[in-house]
Formats: sequence, structure tokens, C-alpha cells
Amino acid sequence: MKVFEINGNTLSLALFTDVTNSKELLDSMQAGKLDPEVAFLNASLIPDVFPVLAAAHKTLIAKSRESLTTRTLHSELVYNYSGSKHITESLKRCGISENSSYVLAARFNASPDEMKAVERLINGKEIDLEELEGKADQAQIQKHYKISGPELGISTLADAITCRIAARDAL
Amino acid sequence: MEMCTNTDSENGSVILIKQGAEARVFESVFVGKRSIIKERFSKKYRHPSLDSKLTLKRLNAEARCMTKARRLGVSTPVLYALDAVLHTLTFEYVEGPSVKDIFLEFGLSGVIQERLDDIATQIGDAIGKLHDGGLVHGDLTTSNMLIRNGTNQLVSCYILVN
Repeated sequence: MKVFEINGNTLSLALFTDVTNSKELLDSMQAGKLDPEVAFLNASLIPDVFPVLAAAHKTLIAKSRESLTTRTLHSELVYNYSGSKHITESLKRCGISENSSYVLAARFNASPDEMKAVERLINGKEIDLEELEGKADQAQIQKHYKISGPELGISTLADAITCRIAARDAL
Repeated sequence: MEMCTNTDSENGSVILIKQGAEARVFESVFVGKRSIIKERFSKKYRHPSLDSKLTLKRLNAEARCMTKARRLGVSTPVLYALDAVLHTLTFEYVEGPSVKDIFLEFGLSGVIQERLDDIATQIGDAIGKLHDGGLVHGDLTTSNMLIRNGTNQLVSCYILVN
């Protein structure tokens, strides 16, 4: 679990593998009964924390201007991680599904107790964020973010994703 | 809305580096990484609604061009954020000398032929890729090209035109 500082707020990230209760998590999330409120991201699309931080930055700015596109701060984080403007599609792809087993949990301004509660919510094994790079699904990432071969020659996957996240609303 | 009036909502460390006819360039920090903020300013002589439409259009065009250039295999600074309200683009701060500075150095202490050839080839290669992809650089000068420290990679900045 690691805490990052963004614009005077914090973002706590924790990575889990062998998650067995994604269906339950998804159900509580959709019923709005998730306590504490947390964002669940499909970790196979995440080769590095930086794109997540860029998405978080974007989310915090939107919140400060009261211009969230989705219902909550945390669903907005998932939406902003996507390269697509289509909300439902983005939440599905970048968030978790019923059989997700590799999940990144993220919460803004979380207290240590809240993060402990998040850990208890998830039936899985917590691993170090350093493992993100090795476990990322390059093919899936290239497909979702439409990253070309030439682009990979001049950039890392994480940088390509960050560019898409930043430029999404201009495209 | 211009940036100078509300920088301190972040970490307050925004330093003006350059000012041109269309934009101001600042150095700052984006989530712990050194960054460059390019702010397109409003032209007061324009009608306000026209002004904001134009500025936004140009901002979006620049973001699109940059993305397209990358897809074509041209190395550009990584785009970190785009703010449609403040009319700013936040980019990676590429550490390294500009090609202009390298050439000036060549002028002072002699040309390193190999390096010159390498840079010239990279410039031609990048422009060729842009042109093949239907993009025009728009501001092709040696001060808009950097060589990333620790590599010999040419990074093209400020690709503007579609």
C-alpha cells in the first residue's frame, strides 16, 4: 500500500492478486453500499502508477470545479483512466468485472483505518506496487488505448497511456 | 481566466520560463515530476466568446497533433494534463540540451561530426514521419528540439499544425 500526494490531497493505492470475491465487490459497488468508498481498477491495464496519478489529478480538478461526469469521485477515477469518452464502456473496461482476479484499489484522502477496511473487503493477496510492470497485459493495453508499434518504439506503455488520459477530452 | 491568479492551489511552484506571441511557458511540478506548463493566453482585443472558442480549439488541436505525432513514431514530450478552463497543457519536462545549444557548442569548440550526423538524421527522420502522416510541424526551429539526457534521442516540441 502506498500513499501519493496530489494537489494537496492524497491517493492511497493497494494492489491485490488472486482476488476471489470480485462479484460481491461489484455488486456492493453498484448498489452504492461500498464502505468505505473505493475505486477498483483492472490492474492488468496498469503498467505503472503514473497514469493512475494523472487520472487522479484530472479527477480532483473536476471535483474542485464541481464538474464530475460520473456519480462519485471514485467512479470518476476509473472513468478518467480510460482512453475512451464512453462512460459505461470505460467503467467496464478499466474497472473490475465478475471474474477479475487482479485488482488495484484506490481511495482518495484515506485514513490508515479506512485502508485497513479496504484490505478486509477484498479476498485476495496484497502485493507490492512494483509488480505492476511485470503483470501488465501489454496486448490488452495496446488494444484499448490504440497504441501503435512505432509509438512503442519511442515511448513506454505508461507514457502512452498518460498521453491518452490527458488528451482524451480533446480528441 | 489566466493561470497566474490561481497557481497556489497546487504547490505554488510555477516559474515563468518563456513568453511568446501565443503562449507563456512555465516550469512546475506535476505529481512529483518536473513539468512544463504551456498556457495559451486570451487576446483581449478579440470578442470574448470568439476568443475562448479559438483558444480552446487551438489547445485541443495541439493535444491531437501531439498524439498523432506519437502514433507516427515521432518522439514528443509526454502530455500529462490538459486544462480546458485555464487553457493550459502540462507536459513532461525533458531534461537535456536543445539542438540549438548543441550546435552553438559545436560552433565554439568544434564540430563532432558523428553527433552532428546523428542529430541531422533524426531530424530528417522525424519530419519525414510527420509529413507522411499528414502533419506539418509549424514551428520548425532548433530551439524546439531537445536531445534527452542519457540517450541520443531527439524530442520534438510544440508540434502545432494538422
